Amino acid sequence: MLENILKNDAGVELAVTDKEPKRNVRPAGTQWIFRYGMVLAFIGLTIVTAILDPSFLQVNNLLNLLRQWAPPGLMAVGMTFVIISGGFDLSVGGTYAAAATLSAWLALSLPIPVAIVVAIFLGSVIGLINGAVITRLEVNPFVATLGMGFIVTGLTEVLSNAMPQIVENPAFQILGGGDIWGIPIPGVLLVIALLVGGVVLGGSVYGRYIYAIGGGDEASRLTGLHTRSIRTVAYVITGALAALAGCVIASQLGEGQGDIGRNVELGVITIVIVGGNAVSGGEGAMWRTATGIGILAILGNSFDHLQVSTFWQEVIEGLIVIGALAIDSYGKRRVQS
Amino acid sequence: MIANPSNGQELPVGAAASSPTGDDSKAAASLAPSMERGDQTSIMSLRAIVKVYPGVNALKGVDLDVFKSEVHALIGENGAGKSTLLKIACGAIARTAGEVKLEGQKVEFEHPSAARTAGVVAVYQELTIIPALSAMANVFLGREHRKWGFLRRNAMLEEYSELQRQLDVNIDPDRPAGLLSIADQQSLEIMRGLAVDAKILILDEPTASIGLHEREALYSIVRKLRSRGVAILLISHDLDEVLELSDHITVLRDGLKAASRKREQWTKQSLVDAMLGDRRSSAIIIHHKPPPSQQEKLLEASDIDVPGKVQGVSFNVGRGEIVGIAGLVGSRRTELLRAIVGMEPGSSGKLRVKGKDAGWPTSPRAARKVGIALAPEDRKHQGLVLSLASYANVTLPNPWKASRAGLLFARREIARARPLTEQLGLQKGALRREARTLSGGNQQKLVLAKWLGMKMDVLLVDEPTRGVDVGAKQELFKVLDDLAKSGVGVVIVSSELEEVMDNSDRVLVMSRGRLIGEVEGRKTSKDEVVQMIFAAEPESAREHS
Repeated sequence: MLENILKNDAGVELAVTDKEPKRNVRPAGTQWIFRYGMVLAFIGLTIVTAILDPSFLQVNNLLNLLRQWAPPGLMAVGMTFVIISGGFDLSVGGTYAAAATLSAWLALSLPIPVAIVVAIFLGSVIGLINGAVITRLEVNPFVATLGMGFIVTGLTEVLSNAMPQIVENPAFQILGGGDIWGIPIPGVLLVIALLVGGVVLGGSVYGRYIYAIGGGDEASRLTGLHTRSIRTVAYVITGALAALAGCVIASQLGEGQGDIGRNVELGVITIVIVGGNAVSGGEGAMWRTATGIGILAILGNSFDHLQVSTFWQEVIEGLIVIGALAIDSYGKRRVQS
Repeated sequence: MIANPSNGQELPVGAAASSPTGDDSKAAASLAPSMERGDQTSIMSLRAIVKVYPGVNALKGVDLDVFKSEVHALIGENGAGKSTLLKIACGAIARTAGEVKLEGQKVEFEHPSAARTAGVVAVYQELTIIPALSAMANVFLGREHRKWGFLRRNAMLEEYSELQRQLDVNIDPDRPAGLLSIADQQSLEIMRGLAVDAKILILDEPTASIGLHEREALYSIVRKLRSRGVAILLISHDLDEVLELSDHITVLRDGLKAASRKREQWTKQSLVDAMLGDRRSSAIIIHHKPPPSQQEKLLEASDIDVPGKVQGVSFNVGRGEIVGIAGLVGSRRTELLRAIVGMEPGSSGKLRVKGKDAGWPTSPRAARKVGIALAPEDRKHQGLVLSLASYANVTLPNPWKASRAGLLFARREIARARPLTEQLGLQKGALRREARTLSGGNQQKLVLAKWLGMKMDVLLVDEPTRGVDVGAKQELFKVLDDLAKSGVGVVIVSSELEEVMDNSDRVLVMSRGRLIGEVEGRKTSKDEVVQMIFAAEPESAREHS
């Protein structure tokens, strides 16, 4: 099973073992560097940061980072499914805010677990509608989810009168602020999501279908795959995880509000891309998304430590996103020609 | 064109090495005289070209000279290195070693556009036409006549009609290129090349996708260009075509030059021998099976309509029968097959499978449920998911069978895929590779293996041999034959009439979306079918028969 998670993007062994394996030594080495480049970058960053900032490796700091990066990380797990299937989801920010607001509002009158379950259900329904609009009405995913994001955000603001839903009940803060054996619950959720997501994507039949429709929609359809349902399920997963992330943030803040989701989706997509998943679909892996979370978390940590202004942070993040893609396509070109 | 034997081309350095199997001693003897070709300087000469891909040594030191006013054919099995060599010649890929000279000057093409400017123009099998732009806009793409940034339509029209005159074609300049026939699109590509004053025109499988009557038009264009002094480098799998068109034929095998001789010194048999090399002795002979009993009808399709394309076609396929469908391009054979597997929206008809009413499938999934599958013409986009491993493509119709509790393991999947691909003669190392990296013939085998594993009742096969070399062609038909023997009903569509006639028990003849006749395969002559087709297509028949 582990072999499947760690293996590779589309289940392909890149070291070719056909007729003439020996001639292949050097190119395979280059390939290896390009494939695991982001992992190397992550390790390098960790070392440099640890040297420059001794407090970085302190357990408390790491646990804090885990708590802080859990909501975007959870959304990135879902986004990985959508992007590998050849799609895109710009509505996660809206879903995130809606779930945060809904769970907070429901927690005022209902038991907290019920509030959370209902909010996650709402996220799944939003994903289902996204999937239906994309696969049945054949609207471009970019446009469909952009529109859905506006609608969901707008409705949340209207229904909540643009007021924060503040929850006083301390039990509400367990999901985002509590610990299990000293580890923040959001961090535990993120690790579980990455592991389960990794196994499903890299090792299950459903994961195979995701790679197949992302790599060749027409061929998959002709093979008799139910491409619409496969695609729709990917949006449902993303919707549900975005809602879970929303519940976590509401719990951390002790309140939910309609405007907390603005631009969140772009951060999530940044994570997926920085890890080295192909934006065009068909290729990628969950460990790449995990790497993306790690890289951005460390950078964020260093920015705070070095007191880099938020504006410069944005500039640097922008450079990193473009750089990640440029290195990826350069690597592909080198391997192919 | 003056032959000048004393000043012939020098013996290439790699000549001795280029025929390592030594299977062609006659070729070696005839090497010297074969060098007296046309003008003494070659337009393009490639020296010791080596190309190494990760894991594959595609070219191992190939020399090639193309002379003025010469049609030079490059043939070889899939994977022999033809396409790689062509792509190096026109700057589409970088070589690992060797040198390229154009009119005696060493050149480095960074990009196909640089080669194009220098007069090396390539027309690929996959055309680079932009469908939404007009025919003329495509021809002048990137080098529009302009003034102050505005297009000069009249100047372009003038040149366009001059180019048309040179090629003797007539294509409406304002028609969107996507609406033109593939042959016309090809002509546009060639016009595009001529517009930059091509010295050498590279044609990669130019007739693979066009029908019988359109080929002649292309041949005449090629001859016309030759008489104007253009050199033509041609890749083709159709040996008859190669023998008819070429002045010089070079055979590549396993990344090396197997032989290079003048047209007169080749026969179809010697070409096949040179292509197959050591394997020629083990060349597969197709065993014709006894005609199947038509007792059990596997598939009864009736009144198939695809709006604007297919009209009222009815046919049936018996158990173990191979039914061929013949017809020209535009006879809508592909659309007929696509309709049966639910890929043509708006189509209608009746379908009975094994005597039971199967309803009209509205998706490939529905067709698969009643036991019908299509191996499509366009392998790269419709047949395979290129980014997946080969084994994953084979197990894709039902990965559950290869899984344990819904989880997939490469070893189990390969164990499942291997017996299927072994039947088709695919090397076992290929299974782990990305489907993208396989040759055309091997990709076709993957598509068939995929459906072999699903035990379909009826397999529809569209253009199974397109872009596939001679050796693999025979293997493929052997597989289809075996499949039929095992009780599957097989329907084959191919533009190669001979192929359809030789390998089918029954041949349906289509013209313009209608069924116009049915003949027995093998026993009927090809001419008879050609006449049948042309009788139904009055205009095209008069033009080209």
